[in-house]
Order: sequence, then C-alpha cells, then structure tokens
Amino acid sequence: MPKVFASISVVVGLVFALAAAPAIGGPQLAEPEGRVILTISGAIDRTNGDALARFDRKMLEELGTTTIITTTSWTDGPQEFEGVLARDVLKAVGATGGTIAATALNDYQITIPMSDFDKYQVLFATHMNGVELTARDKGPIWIVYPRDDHKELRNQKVDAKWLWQLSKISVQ
Amino acid sequence: MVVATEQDQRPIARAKSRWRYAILLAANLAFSVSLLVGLVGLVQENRKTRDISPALTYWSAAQLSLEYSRFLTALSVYTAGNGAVARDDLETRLDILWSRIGVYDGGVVGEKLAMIDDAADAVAAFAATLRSVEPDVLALEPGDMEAFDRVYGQLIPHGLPLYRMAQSTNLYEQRAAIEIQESTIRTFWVHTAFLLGIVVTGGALVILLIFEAKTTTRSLNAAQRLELRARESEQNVRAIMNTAVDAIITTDAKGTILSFNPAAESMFGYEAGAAVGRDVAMFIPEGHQDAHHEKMRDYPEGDASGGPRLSGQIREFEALRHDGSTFPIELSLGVTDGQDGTTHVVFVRDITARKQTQEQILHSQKMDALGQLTGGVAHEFNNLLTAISGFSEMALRDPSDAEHVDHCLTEVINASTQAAELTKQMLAFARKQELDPRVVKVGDIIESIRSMLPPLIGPNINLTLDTGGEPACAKVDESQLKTAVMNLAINACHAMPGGGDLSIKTWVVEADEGLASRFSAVRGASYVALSASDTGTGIEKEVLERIFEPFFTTKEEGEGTGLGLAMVHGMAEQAGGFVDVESEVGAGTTFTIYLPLCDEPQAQENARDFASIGRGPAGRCTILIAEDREPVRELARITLEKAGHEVLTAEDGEKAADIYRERDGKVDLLLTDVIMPKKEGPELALELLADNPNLKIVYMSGFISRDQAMREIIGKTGVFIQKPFDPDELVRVVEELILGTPEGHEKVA
Repeated sequence: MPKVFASISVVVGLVFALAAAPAIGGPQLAEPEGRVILTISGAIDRTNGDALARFDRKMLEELGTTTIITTTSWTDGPQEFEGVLARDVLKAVGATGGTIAATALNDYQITIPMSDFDKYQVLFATHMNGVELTARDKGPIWIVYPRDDHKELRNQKVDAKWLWQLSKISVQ
Repeated sequence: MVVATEQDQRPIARAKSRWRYAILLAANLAFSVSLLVGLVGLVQENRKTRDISPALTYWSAAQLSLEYSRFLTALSVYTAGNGAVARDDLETRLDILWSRIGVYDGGVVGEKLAMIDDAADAVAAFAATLRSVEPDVLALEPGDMEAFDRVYGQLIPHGLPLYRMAQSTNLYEQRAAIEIQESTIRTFWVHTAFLLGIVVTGGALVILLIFEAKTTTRSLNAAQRLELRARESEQNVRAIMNTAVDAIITTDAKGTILSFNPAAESMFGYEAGAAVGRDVAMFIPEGHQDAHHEKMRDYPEGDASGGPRLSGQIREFEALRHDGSTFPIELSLGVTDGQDGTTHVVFVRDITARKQTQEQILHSQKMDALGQLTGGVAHEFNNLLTAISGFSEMALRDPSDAEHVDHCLTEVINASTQAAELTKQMLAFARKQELDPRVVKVGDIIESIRSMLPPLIGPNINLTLDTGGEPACAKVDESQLKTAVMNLAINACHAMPGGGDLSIKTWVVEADEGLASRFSAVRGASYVALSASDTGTGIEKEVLERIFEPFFTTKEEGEGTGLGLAMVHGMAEQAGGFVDVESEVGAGTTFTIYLPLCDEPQAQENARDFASIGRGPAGRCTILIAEDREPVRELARITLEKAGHEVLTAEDGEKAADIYRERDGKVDLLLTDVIMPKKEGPELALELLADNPNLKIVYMSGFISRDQAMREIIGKTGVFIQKPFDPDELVRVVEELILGTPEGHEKVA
C-alpha cells in the first residue's frame, strides 16, 4: 500500500514536474546543493526555506539556459552571453509582484519592472563567451538585456539595469 | 483708358510676383533644409552622448574609489580578528574591487574613463600595487599586524589619486554636460532662427498668395463691373438713339454711315438698312456737295486741340430728302477718337417749322414797327408836303423873279428828296423777303435807318447814334437786323414815356471769360457789338428772366405783340451771336447784340462809269411812255424831250400798245410803269417784244411787286428804275440802254 502510494506520488510528482512545475512550480523548491549564488525573497510562492528561494548555479542552469549575442557599454564588440531567462527564474519561484528589487554583492540596488522580462529576453547570464562569470568579472550573475535587438534598450536608463554581481532579488 | 492701363500692367505685375514667389520659396527651402540637417545632426549627437553615458562613467569612477575604501576597512576589521569580517567577506571585497578595476579595461565606458586626465595611470598604478599585494592579502591571518601594515602601507598611498580620479571624472563630465548644454542652447537658437525663417518666408508666401488671389478677384470684379457699365451705357445710348426726336447719325472719318436712328429714317425718308454703309453726302443738296467734300477733307487737320471737335457748335444747312426735296436743318457734330478710329456723331434737327415761325414773327414784327412808323412818317410827310406845296405856290405867285423861283424850287426839290428817301426806306423795310444772311457792315445798316428812327421814337427822345470806328462786318440778314434795331428803339421809347436819351452804338469786342461763361461765346473770339441804351424805367429782375420769351409782354393790349425782343434774340442766334441785357430799375436798360465778326467782303459789284453819258449822245430816239399817273408821265416826257428824244405817251398799257401799232412799231424804247390799269407793264412789254425783240424796256415803279413771275419778267426783259427818280438818273439809264450796255440800272431778282 505505501509502495503503491509512493508510486502514485512519484507519478504525480513527475506529472507536476513535467507539466505544472515549469509554470506554477511545485510547493517547494529543491534545496541548493552547492554554494548559493542567488536568493529570492518577497512575493513568491515557492521557496526552499525561510520564505526564501535560494539557488546554486546548478539549480539555475536546470531551469534551462538561453544564449544571446549583444554589445555592452562595458565590453568591446559583441559578446555571447549564456544564462537563464529572468522570467523563467521568477516563474520558478512563483513570483506574483510587479517589480523586483535586484541587489548586487556591493549592495548596489535597482528596481526593475517585471514587464521587462515579459517583453524582452532578459538574461540572468552566468557565462560570457563560454567562460563562467566570476565575482571579479561581473559574475556570478550579470543581468543582460538584448540591447542590439531593441533600439529602445540602447540608453543610459536601461544600462543602469545591467546589474552585475547579482546576489539577491526581492519580488514586490 | 483705365482698362487698357490695367491690361498693360498685369503681365508686369505677374512677372514681379513670380519673382517674389521664387525668392520666398528658395529662402523657405533653404531654411527647411538647414533645419532638417541641423536636426539630423542633433539626433546623431544625442545618440552618441546617449551611448556614452556621463553618469555611468562618473558612477564607475566613484565606485572604484568607494570599493577601495571598503576593501581597506574590511582588511582592517579582518586583521583585528574580532570575526566581524570573515575571510570569505574579505575575498568578496577583493573580487568586487577587481571587478571595478575591470571597468577600465574596455567598452565605451572604459574608453571614456581612459580619456580623463591621469585616470588611466592612477588605475593602472593601483591595479599593479593590488596585484603585488594580493598574495599577502590572501595569506593574511587575523592578528598579523606586521603583514597588515606592509599591505596597508602599499595600498594607502593610492587613496588620494583614486579620489582625485573620481573627482576629475566628475569635473570632466560636468564640463561635458555644460558643453552639451551650451551646444544645445546654440543649436536651439540656430534652429529657432531657421524655424523663424521658415515661418516668415512661409507666411509671406501665404500672404502673397492671398493678396494675389484677392487682387485677382478684385480686378475680376472691376472688369465685370466695367463690362456691366459698358453694357448699360450701350443700352442707354441705344435707347437714346431710338427715342431721340432729332436724327442721330454716326459716320466714320470718311463720312460712311455707321448708324441711322428712327428719327433719321423719318426725317430723310431712308430705311436704316438702306442708309448704313453709304456716304453721308447723299443728304446734301447738289449745290453744297463740293463744300461738304472740302470740309470732310480738311476736317482731320482742322483742329489740333484733340478731343471732341466742333461739339456744341450748331450750324444751319440745307438737307436733301429721299424724294429729292430739300429742307433746312440745324446740325451739330461731335467727334470721338476710339480704338476703331474716328467716329463722327451728327445730330440733325429739322427746323422747317421753326424757320416758318421765325419768318412769320419777323414779318408781323415788321408790320408792328410799320404801324408805329406810319404815324411818325405821316407827320414827317405832312411837313415835307407843306414845304413842297408852300414853295410851289410861292414860285407861281411871282414867276418873273427868277431868283425867287429858283430858291423856291430848290426847297421843293430838297423836300421831295427827303420824302423820297423816307418812302424808299419804308418800302425796303416792309418788303417781305427770304432770309438772306450776307456779310454787311453793321454800322452802315444802322446809318441806313437813321432817318427812320426819329419819327419812330418821337420828338421828346434824344437819339445818339455812334457807328464810328473801324467798319465792323457780320453775316446777318439785313432786313432782320434793321427790324431788330427798330424793335429795340420802340422798346426804349416805351420805357421812356416822359422822354429821355436813347443811345445806339456799334463797336468791336473780344469775348472775355465773363461772356464765354454766360453765353455760348467762344473765348477770345471777336464780335460786333450793337447796343441800345435808354434812360427809362428799367426792367425788374423777374421780368428780365422772361424778356426774350415770345408773346411775353408787359405792354398794354394793342401796344405790342410780345414778339419784339423774341425776334431780336432769334435774329442774334441765327447769326451765331447772342443778346445781353443789363437793366437797373429807375436808371435804364441796355440791350447789346453780339454778332460774330466777319471779314469785309470784297466788292463784287462793278462800279459803272457813267461819266461818258450826257444829254443827247445817243442821238434822237423814239421813246414810248406808259404811265397812268399824269405828273410822273409828264415829268418823264419833259425830261426825255429835253434830252433830245422824241417822246410818245399813253395813260395805260392798252393805249400804249395802240400807239405802238399806230407808229408801226417804230419805237426804240418803252418806259413803262409796272402796275397800270387795263394792261400792266410786263404784259405790255412782252407783247411789244413779241413784235420787236430789239425793243429796249425800262420799268419804273415805286413798289416792287411780290409776284415772283412778274419780277422774273422784269429781270429778264429790261431794267428797273425806282420811283421817285432823279431826272438825270432817268436820262442816264435810258441812254445807257440805247447805247447797248448789257446790264440794266437795277436788277430785280
């Protein structure tokens, strides 16, 4: 009987994982196994303890990665960025708010409307040109906008949202 | 003229406005292009500055300075070993610091930062130091103050340069911002100027367009109005032409008829269709054609003053109807020079009725005057008859005293001569004549009636005649002028019932402004003036205004017809003159007749030389006298017998014819009275002439018959001698005829 139950649980869990999990997520996030590089708080449905959703690099990458090529104001020439789409991360935690307050390692903070992530393929980049981003090189996470694909993104106001060394997000 | 001028000027105006359009349009385009270029430049500039964010560069520089300080603090706290800063924290701070230094490595932000004075050097120096101390930092253990001092001592000197770098970046960005601001202001003004240029030139273009549209509309309206007015004017002219009582004919310069109104149709008896296109000369009687053609030929050069010529001047002519009859007309001519050449507008008035009325008035006037004259003449005649009979009786009383008889008969002859003169003038005056204006000396005419005036005006009026000075001629009917003067004299006489002074004088005057404005006188033209001034009662103003109206009279019934002054006025107008009257109540009145001055006519009558004619040179002739009045017959018989001729006498025409037959026609000359019992003079003459065409005839009469046929016979068959005649004159006439002088003593026509 418990076996059967367990089997059903596994099936249900699989069904959720395959069908519902990407959209709504499960009731809880898995615990991070490696070093936590991103902590999400605030208006989120899914956490992995203390009302926080903590991600290690592996957890993030498991959400599915995307690659975009764009120029930046801090680099020479077009760069290839790889990472998780911001919208996927926020979906994974069941974020319900309108904006996020993103905070860097040096406590730099910026507010970004959630609509940016719906409109554009905003990336929580973990790699640049195939190389993992480190804290010394704007890592571990750099918020990258597809600047070259959209004219309206090529300005100072948007540049201010290219937050690097992202470590915390508060959904509001 | 206005339309022509507008039409002439329109192309010039259009060309001018085209130039204005071109200039304004070019200016507008230039301003627009400049603005466009400027704006494109501005956008590009803006894009450049947007890509290189000034705030971002300053922020990056400031962040480096901040992270430097935070790292040193973390280093101090970590070395102190109180656990407030863990090794991970220190390493994170070191990573952050390195990431800040990395900003200077590339990208637009890095490039910008590298351009700032000393910034690149300061950062490079700091990076080098950090790299050299990094192993010591990573090996640092809490409480190792020596190692800390070594690291700290190397890092601390970079604090100021990094701070200065942040400051320099800030200043640099500020300067850049100010430059951008100033450039923006400059650009703003330049672009505003361009915009203003566009607005001004565009506005001017719009205004010009509106103005031109309005002007076009206005000139169109003006043209429409002009056309409307021209059409109305044409309709008016047509209405005038169709309803005018006078004939109105227009011709071209050559006299070809262009239009012919209904009045002209009825006046001349031609349909308009038949008259238009023909020469206007067709209305001129045969005898006047040459004069007409001469005038038409000379006319274009006749007046150099330009404008309408001859307008206002009214002339009288004879005109020819379709049926061949002639009639008197009054004609005035206007000339206009239009686009199609010169046009003559001829106004013609049929004055047949007026002429007849005038003649009637004139005649009745003469009768009036004659009636008045008769009384005076009878009185005068009685005086002369008294003298004649008295002196005759005195001569018979003592016929032996030759000296006495001679004296008495001389007085008789004087009185008879005066009486003859008086009757002659009366007859000449009473004679009904066709109006026959001729160039005459006005003074002579006045003189010729001098003797008639005293009996006319009576003894209590003192008459002064002044016809002196140069002889002045006017073209006037002699009889009319005489009547006019006599009428004026009669009027003066009535104005002075208690006696007074009447002054009649003639002189030559040039029409001044005053006369020209009051009458239809031509300024500067010369006139013969004839005035009659009295010292009578004068005329009141109300009366003065109507004084020339026919049948207007202030006299008692039977005293005047009211035609006197009307006749004077008519006479003056017919002669092309006018009458002026000045009067002051209680002081007197002056009538002045002004007649256009004419040149003196050349004497046409051939003065005959009678010097060779004396008693008897023609030899003895047989002369038959037919005269019913015995004294005249006797006088003629004695006179001619004394001249050496054989004389036969008869008391009437029939007896004269009998005597002629008894003498078998051996008669050289017949001297006959015109009006006789049984057979009149001309009839007798024709009868005898039928027998002897060479018979000479002399008619004598005190009265010229009104019978035109009789006058013609007299003129064709013989010569005429006016009774009473001087015996010497009779002998001269008779002998001249016998000697074969072709023309008679006096022609009767």
